[in-house]
Amino acid sequence: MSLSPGATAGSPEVLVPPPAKVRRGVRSWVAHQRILTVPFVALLVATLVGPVSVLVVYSVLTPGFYSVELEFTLRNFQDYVASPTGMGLLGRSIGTGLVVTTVIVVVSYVIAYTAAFKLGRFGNIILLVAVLSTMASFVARVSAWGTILGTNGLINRSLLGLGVISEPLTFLLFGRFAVGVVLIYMFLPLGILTIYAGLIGIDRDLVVASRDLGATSAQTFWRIVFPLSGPSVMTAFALCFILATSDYVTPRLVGGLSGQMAGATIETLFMSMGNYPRGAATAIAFVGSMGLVLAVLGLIAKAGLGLLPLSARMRSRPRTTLRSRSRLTRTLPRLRILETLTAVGMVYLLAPVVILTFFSFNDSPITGLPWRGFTTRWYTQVVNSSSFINSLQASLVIGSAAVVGSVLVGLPVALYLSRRGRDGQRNRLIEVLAYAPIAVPGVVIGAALLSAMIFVGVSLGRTPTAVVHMMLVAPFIILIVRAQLLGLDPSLEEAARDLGARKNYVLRTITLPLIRNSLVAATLLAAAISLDQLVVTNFTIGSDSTVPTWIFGQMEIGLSPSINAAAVIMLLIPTVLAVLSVLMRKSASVPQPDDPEG
Amino acid sequence: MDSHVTPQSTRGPDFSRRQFLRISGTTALAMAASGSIAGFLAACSNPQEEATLDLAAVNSPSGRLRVLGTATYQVDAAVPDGVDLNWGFAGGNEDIIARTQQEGAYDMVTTFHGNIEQLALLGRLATIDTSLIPNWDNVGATFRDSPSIRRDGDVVAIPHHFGYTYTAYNAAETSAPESLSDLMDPALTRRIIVPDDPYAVITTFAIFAGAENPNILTQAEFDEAMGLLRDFRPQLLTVHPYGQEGEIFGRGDAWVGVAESANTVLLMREAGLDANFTRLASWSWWVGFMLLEGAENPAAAYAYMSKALSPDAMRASAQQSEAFPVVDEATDVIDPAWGFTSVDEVLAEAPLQPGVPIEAEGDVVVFEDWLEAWDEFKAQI
Repeated sequence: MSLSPGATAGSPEVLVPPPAKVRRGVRSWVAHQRILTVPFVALLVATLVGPVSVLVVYSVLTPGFYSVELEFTLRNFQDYVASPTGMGLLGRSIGTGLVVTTVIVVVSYVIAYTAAFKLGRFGNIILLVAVLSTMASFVARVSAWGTILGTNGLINRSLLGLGVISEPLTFLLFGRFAVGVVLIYMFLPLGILTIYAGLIGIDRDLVVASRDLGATSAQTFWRIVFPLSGPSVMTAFALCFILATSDYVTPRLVGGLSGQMAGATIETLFMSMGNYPRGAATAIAFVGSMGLVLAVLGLIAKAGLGLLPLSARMRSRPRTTLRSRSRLTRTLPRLRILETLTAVGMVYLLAPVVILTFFSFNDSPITGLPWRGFTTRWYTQVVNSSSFINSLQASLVIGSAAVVGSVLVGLPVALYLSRRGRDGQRNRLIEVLAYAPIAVPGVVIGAALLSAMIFVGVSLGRTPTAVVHMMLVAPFIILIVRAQLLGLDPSLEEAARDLGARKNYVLRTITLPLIRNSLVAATLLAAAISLDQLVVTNFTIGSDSTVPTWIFGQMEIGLSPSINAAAVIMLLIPTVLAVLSVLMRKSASVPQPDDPEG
Repeated sequence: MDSHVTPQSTRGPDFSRRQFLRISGTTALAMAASGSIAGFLAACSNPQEEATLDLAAVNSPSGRLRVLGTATYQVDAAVPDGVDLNWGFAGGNEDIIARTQQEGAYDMVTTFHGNIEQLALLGRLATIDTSLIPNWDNVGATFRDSPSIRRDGDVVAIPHHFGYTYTAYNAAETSAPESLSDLMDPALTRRIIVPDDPYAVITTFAIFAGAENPNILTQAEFDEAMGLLRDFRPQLLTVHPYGQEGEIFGRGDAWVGVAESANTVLLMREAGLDANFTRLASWSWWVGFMLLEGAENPAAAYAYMSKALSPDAMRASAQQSEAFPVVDEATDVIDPAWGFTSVDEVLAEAPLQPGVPIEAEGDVVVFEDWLEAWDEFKAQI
């Protein structure tokens, strides 16, 4: 560490990064090993780039009936651009995506900040709640929002009961309001986890030093904490924006006629009309528009960061020391408002889960209100359903394989990107690829994969589905873990290396333990995403079924509380695993370094 | 101890971009090739490919049967002994067409009759030999002899259930709608729902518009039906996926459902609502089994179809789906709420529709245009 020329002592500007030549940690070694990214890239080429490339070619060919004719045309793009409805939906989707994502990022920041800085080890509970809230079935959770927002739903009943209103509010459900509320709910956990991973890596000493040097808590936040959490905020924004903008299932379930979004058009073109060229062109235009919006926002964010204190931007790899935490707690402002907002956020995340659990015991054929009495028959029905048990088995096998596989291919990429991201632009390709599975709408991935699997001769079923899930969840491992890696202090690894530890040993005993929090969070999120993946799975699972496809199938009979019961069972499994994991960690002794040579 | 060398350059390309891309590409190709080889080996080792299909094989089925269809009609009572049923759940009619692209992925589908034309045109339907279905004669003559189950004289679909669309309403909130004018009552603004099914809704509005043949519409008739639908838009709360209507009614969000079918009204009643229905602009549909080209286990498929047509299995699936059975002997399980008297009475009041053409013939509007118009309608800004 050195003083920057012209800097004055007593201000954060004294901090400059160490010269590149002394960065000798394991991540420096990793940075030069592009081979680490090969498994991920190969996975992506086989399951995404290849199949989607076919669709890109389709976009300039002439549509046939569920087929493509080898005749070049740009008409597919021209038709889309000339369509007022298409353009209107695109604008509405991007507008909704921007509003929803802004709210998500702000709320996520408050919650993640509180979890990282204010709640000590109890912060992990916030993460656990965030992840668990995503574990119950998507359909069941959205249905629970109907119970909250409906005409005779909980909000209307409460307001009527309090005398605030005399007639039920009818705008709450089936419109843009409901789409916004549910989309925020759906992607808030992702925002929290991503931003938390960035915040947890910030060196508390910087914050303490800032306060010791006379900065107010607000100055410390704006000049130290916020700039250092910038990468994770931008990552969270990009992820949530892409997912919220391209979601079409939520608008379909709660959007009514005024809340429809562009993703539905792509789904219709691929699934209902079998017009792959037009669907591909629409998807390309849609993804391109989202990319353009993100690029513009990225430039604005860069310009904004340029206005932030130089010290904060340069001190990009702060040390992580745990000893300063208690002091930090003393120095940060004790604003109960943060804890209160976090509590409200937790209620927001948990309310649908509590409601669906409650109504899983409702003796009524529908998933929510009115309450018709207590019964356990829905659990009996689900547990005795051989098709559900088969689906559960398939989900668990596919989810486990996907999580293990995605960590194996994603972690090396995160390590690689965490170093290269600061040294140049050469990892840009890998970074773009890491976003690709999230950026391409699920229905496009599904349709492309189905076409490619038919072409190559791969049979549909659990194995290809597990591989595809691996591709779908690996980006979350990469981006969340990388966000924490970017905030870690490389000098810890350097010190270990200076003391003679081998690279693998440093990786195992220094780097991995330091990123444990983000890795656990990312792994849980990956498991949640895999267990609830429907759109792509629907194309690849063949005659088998997973729990989401089973629930999707049950919808045709009618959304019954058996779906709630299935969702509760799905929720219980990771909850029990998480509790067992905590108990095991508590009972396990701290391992001692056995061989410094590795 | 490992030699600990500080990198001299942050660039340090000990692995060139070209090498990197080459390895990635090779790996991907290898993965793809391994899939091809696996598929080839699987095809080579498939012993059932050349097996002779006769009644003896159908009577003693074995192995895995892969069906794609909605969960509505899946009942254990229809599974023959010795058959391991794998039921892939389809979320809607269009799912069936998209997911049967891979030949051999499924042995059989169960879907509504309007999909026959699409599947036949795509060459996915195999001819069904009804002599291999011992319970074929259980099927009522109306369906057994229907031209709608045949293509070029060959049977390609085995009817399983049928039903009609109706207008469901919550009698505690509104009186029975007798006409489109009743449905346009301002009191019903944002109180009506329709299913997210272009076939069902446009057919219904074509009937409202007075079309003689509501599936075979000229451009003018189609425009009139869509015009009515657009005028109707303010009345609509939402277009719902099948299965969501029960909870929408149950919460009191909607009071009327147009072009609803199957179990909606019974679900509403079980949820405690004073639900009823009218046959306003009603029309009928049927669902059936279709054997797919490249089926790996046709013997099991025939055995399943036959058992599904047995009175007991038919009763089970009728009770689960609330759709009417095509086997007369099983009509005793039909809920009295439906006022069912006979197949002919139902079809007289709610005529069976032939399905929308998918290839242009004269001025007739094809199904692709129906879908596009529906998408435009839903997306209207």
